[in-house]
Amino acid sequence: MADDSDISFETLVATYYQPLYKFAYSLTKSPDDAGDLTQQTFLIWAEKGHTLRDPSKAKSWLFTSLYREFLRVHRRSKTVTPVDQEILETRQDSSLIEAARQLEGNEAIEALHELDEVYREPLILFYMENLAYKEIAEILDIPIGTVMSRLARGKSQLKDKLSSKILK
Amino acid sequence: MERQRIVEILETYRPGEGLESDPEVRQALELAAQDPELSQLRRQIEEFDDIFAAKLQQVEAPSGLQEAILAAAGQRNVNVSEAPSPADHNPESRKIIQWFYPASFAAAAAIIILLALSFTYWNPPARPDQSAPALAGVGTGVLETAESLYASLRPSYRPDRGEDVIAYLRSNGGAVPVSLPGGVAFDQSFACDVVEVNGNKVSIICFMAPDNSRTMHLFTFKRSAFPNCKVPAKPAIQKDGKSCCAAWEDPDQDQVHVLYSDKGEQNLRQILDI
Repeated sequence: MADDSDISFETLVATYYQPLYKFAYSLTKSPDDAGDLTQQTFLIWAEKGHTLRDPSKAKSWLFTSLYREFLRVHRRSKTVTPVDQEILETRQDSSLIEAARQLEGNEAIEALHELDEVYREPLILFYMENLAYKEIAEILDIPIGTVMSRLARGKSQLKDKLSSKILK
Repeated sequence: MERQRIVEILETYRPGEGLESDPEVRQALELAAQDPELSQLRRQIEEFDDIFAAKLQQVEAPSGLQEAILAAAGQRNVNVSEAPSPADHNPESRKIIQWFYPASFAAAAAIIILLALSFTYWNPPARPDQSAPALAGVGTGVLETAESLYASLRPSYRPDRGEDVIAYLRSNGGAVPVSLPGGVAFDQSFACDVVEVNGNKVSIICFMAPDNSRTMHLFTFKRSAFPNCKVPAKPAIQKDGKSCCAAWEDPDQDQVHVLYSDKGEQNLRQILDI
């Protein structure tokens, strides 16, 4: 977006605390953890934001910091071994769309949490934050091609899960 | 091309990502446009994505979080009115490097020049997108705020009639646009709100496009609240990554408008005739 160096810390918080919280909540599924992660991210900005050389990258910087903080707090290894599953054409009919329409916000997040972790994170950023693939790649520290293949597989898995719920 | 590969491409295709430059993607899109079944599949993929994204947007930050963040920052002596400057503006980063050994300096400079030349050779500079004016031109608060509001859209008022929209905006101190883009009547509005961001009130009007095919969201700011903004007089597309909107000003009404379409740039251009 525009030159974030012109924005006060207060404006930065006002502009990004909602989308950052949503990202944090979708990662943790815990309102308390999400609030803590969001707050911690802004405190990291207050401490290290000056190291950002390109002010227009503030949004990506904040999301990246939140994601790294999430990984650090949850002590997870970033090395993942995704299952190289084949993308099979999934159900794309009106009943699947209707099933999605019936979901509540929390149920949508629950559905994402049923997916393999490697697919969940790009999907969250894809659906929730409307970020460019390049930005998603930067935040998750993976190549764009990997983002796209994980999105395709993640969407396939998500639709399979929703379809199986319809059949139950 | 195998159908499975076409489906995979359709699942990840998004306008505005520049994916069309890939011949395989172009071919898949052409095949999808010619084949009624694939066309329907593409529409269903887009519809599912729109619905699922909207569901995730329902999550809302707890009230008081913003204040808690500012309070915590205040305890750490962060000046909340002033953001940390980027590194290039940091006086500490402007330390004069003292080179005691001219030979080392020359060698380092030569290496840097060689690296820069090889980088330029292997990574030719991207051609600027002629269709999108520089986003920073509008900047300094308006677009960031509109983007954030669009990302967390939850308008509180659901009007029955167009006149209710106008009355609601006025009664809450929000700016009322003279008309909606594309000659859409206020009766086409299904939700609206007035929110305050940093002391500036922003009017939000959500409405259906003239052909009822998509929802659009108009954010109207008070022009004089952003004196340093350079806003185009006529609607112009503003892009940043995937985010795409149109912005323009109405100096007679002291208003700046930012319009988002849930269906992206093409629909913005269509409704604004740009």
